[in-house]
Amino acid sequence: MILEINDITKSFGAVDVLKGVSMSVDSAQCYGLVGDNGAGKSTLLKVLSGVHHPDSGEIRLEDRVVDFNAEIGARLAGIEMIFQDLALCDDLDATANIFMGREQRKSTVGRFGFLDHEGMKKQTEEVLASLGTDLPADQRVRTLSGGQRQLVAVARALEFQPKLLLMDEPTAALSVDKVGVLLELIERLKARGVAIILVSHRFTDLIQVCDKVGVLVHGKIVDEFEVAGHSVDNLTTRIVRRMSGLDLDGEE
Amino acid sequence: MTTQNVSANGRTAIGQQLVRWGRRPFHDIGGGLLIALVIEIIVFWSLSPNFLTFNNITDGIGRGMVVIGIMAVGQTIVIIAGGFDLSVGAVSAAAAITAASLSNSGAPFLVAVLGAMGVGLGVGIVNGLITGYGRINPLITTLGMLSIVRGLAQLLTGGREKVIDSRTFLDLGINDTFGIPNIVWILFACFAFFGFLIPRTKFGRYVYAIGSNDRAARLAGVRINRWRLVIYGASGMLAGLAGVVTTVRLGTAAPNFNTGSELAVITAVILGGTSLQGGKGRLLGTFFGLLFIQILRNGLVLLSVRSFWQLIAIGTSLIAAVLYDEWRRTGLTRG
Repeated sequence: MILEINDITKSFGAVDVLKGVSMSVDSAQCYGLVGDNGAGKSTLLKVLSGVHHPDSGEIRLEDRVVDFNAEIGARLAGIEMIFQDLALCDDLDATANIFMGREQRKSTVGRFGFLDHEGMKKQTEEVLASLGTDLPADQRVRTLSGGQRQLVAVARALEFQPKLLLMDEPTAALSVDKVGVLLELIERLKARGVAIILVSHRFTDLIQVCDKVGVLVHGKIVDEFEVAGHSVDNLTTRIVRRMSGLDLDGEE
Repeated sequence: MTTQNVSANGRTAIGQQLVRWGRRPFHDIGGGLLIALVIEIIVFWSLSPNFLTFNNITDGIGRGMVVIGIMAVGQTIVIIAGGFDLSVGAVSAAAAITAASLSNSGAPFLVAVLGAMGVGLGVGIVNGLITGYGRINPLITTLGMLSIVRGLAQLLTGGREKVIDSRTFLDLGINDTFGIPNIVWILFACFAFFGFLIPRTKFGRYVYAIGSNDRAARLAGVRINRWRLVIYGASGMLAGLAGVVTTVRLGTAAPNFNTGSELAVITAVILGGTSLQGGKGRLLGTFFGLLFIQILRNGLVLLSVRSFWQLIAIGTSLIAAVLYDEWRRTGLTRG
């Protein structure tokens, strides 16, 4: 297993957002996470990406217990996150955004050194090309379209060969044809062995690319199932019923 | 877009590249300031015969702009990073007193200078701590610090000025190298040092990143609060150096030094195209903004205009610059 979490809890003041979440994702697998607003999806992703520290529970990455006390810790361990609002610095170019926090430098002396602009630009062009886009690496992110900005955020997550990629509503800001491109990309990442946790309101997207789906209700995973071998209608009904607190046979 | 138009007119690729290089330094500065600067020079040149003389350029303009110029370098960095530093004038006074006290008690020149810059660095780090870790608005933080530091300076000196004995201090204020006053070289060195570092280091990149979207920088793993200490520390240290230069020029150190200088400093930075919203700005722009302010102050003196008009003129430039910036920004976002 790439990622295994056991009994994660997290509260903010008096509000218990996560009440003991356990789940696991294997490499080359996509785990879809669904749930209503406030169910704790974003909080779970933030715990996994080091933004929040869990109150209790265990996170195991490749069978080792990990404890991130900052965002950079999770990134260095191989967990990348694509945020819903993309979290880009609009006044900087694609290269600066992709290498943010991990700038490459030439000939460092101790902690000091000059940025390797050419090297980073070249790698940016390569990673953008691998995503099938030729958007200029030195253009300010502010001037890019929504889809292009999404690609910059994806490129940032991919540049450092993550083991686990967390995506929070990645299709929310995309037009229909761009959604197709993104789902295709997820398939390609899976083929490369990357594990993915995908949070989305669009069940059809989830069912299309995910291998396993978990339903989060009030901070607990109430149902989890393999996607293979079921029809889309079946699965959608199952998710909707679970989210509204119904049993599978329709009883409350 | 402009380069596309040029190519439509049949210019060569090399010509386009030259046009781009020529524009590059002025990117973000805005042609408005350069035009205003030229008009300003022409006006004072035609009104005062002493304006375009070697003496006035090196002394009236050159020496006169060093103190606010050094502080403006630090202020540019802070404002690009989305912050604000109102404490620079007060810090420069406290640093001047530190330098004078150290020097008069027998410390070598360099120790006195480093001591003064150390005081500035200390105040800057406190500013960074309060705005970063304490999440207090930088205007409030540095306004409070302005008052605290100014008060401490008054307290420690009993409100009196200290006359400096050291010959080295006085010589530095008077001597020239290659016809340019030594303190103007210090100003150039500050611009050159940070102008070199900002595009080439993590420090410079994070200054822009924090000003542009500090949350995004944090989520990407940048320890933004630590960098805020560096950013405000740099501004404080430069204010300390500006205090030393004030002492060097006047031969004394007084707790009321550079009162109100924040106004000219911030005006120079904003005129230079640095955005109050953060994330955008250039030191070269600040240099031209500084020239504009100093030529305005100098020209009004040459024309024997009463000094109150200087304040009115600088305040007007500040508001005009912000209006221009606002208009340019909303003009862009509204298409």
